[in-house]
Amino acid sequence: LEALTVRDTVPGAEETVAAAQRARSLRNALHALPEEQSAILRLSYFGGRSQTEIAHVLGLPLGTVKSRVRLALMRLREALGEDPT
Amino acid sequence: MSGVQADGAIEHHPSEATLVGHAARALRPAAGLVVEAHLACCPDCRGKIGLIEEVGGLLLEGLPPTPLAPDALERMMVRLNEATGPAAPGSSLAAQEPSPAELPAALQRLLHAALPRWVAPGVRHALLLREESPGGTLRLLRISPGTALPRHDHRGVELTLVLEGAFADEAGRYGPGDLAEVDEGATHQPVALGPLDCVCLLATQGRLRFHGPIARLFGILARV
Repeated sequence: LEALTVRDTVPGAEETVAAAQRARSLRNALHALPEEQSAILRLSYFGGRSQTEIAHVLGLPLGTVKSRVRLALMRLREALGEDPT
Repeated sequence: MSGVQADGAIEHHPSEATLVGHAARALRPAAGLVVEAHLACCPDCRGKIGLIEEVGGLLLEGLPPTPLAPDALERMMVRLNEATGPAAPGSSLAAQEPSPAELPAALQRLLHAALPRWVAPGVRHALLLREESPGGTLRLLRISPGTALPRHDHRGVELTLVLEGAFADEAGRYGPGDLAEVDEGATHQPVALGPLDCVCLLATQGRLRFHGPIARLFGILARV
């Protein structure tokens, strides 16, 4: 009974576990992305380049860069059990 | 004009690539303000930004640590000793770049100071911000119902957020809160729908190219 009481009073324990699980799912899904998608994600987050600049650097149409970002995020949402659209 | 009153569900959103750029602070100031104003009235995109920021954190974890030069500590100590005096590092940057939480307020100040002038029949326009490089702008447009803007294309991505009224182009109808994202090279011709004036915020990169002599005259008058 004491153990139960203690567990019930730890604030946010369940949320912490859920957040850790979510981070693990997201990390696994990131590793599973095709290289062409994860490379564009990394370029988009780091380096301060606009999508237009990334398209020029990679020699790809802007639409291709944008659709790879969209597809990557769709897969990540799917991996979290969320509506991918 | 203190905010956007979305009259229904927002149907047009920034691309995810633009949202990632916003989360990564990689958007130019004009585009950043337009996206910030859209986020303020769009719970869907605020939800997307949440995931996008999580992903950024995880990608940062995965980056290999930057190797340090053998004398890195020594050089850092020298720099710390040099960094004294009234011009403390970061103070001028903080004055120029408002934090994300202040951006809507910064936008409101710009809007308040704007003095729209006529540039063509049915079109009033105010320049809110001109970026030094590579020549992007933030503009406020007030377009009378039925007025068509000249057909034009873009050298960069153009973001348009409707604040009041509505417009339509080849891609659909845009009402308050809707954000139109038009890519480089794409051509479009927006038409204001009635009954109210269409008021929108427009972030452009580079110069617009107008098609036809009257349209080019519009470009000269509006200095776009």
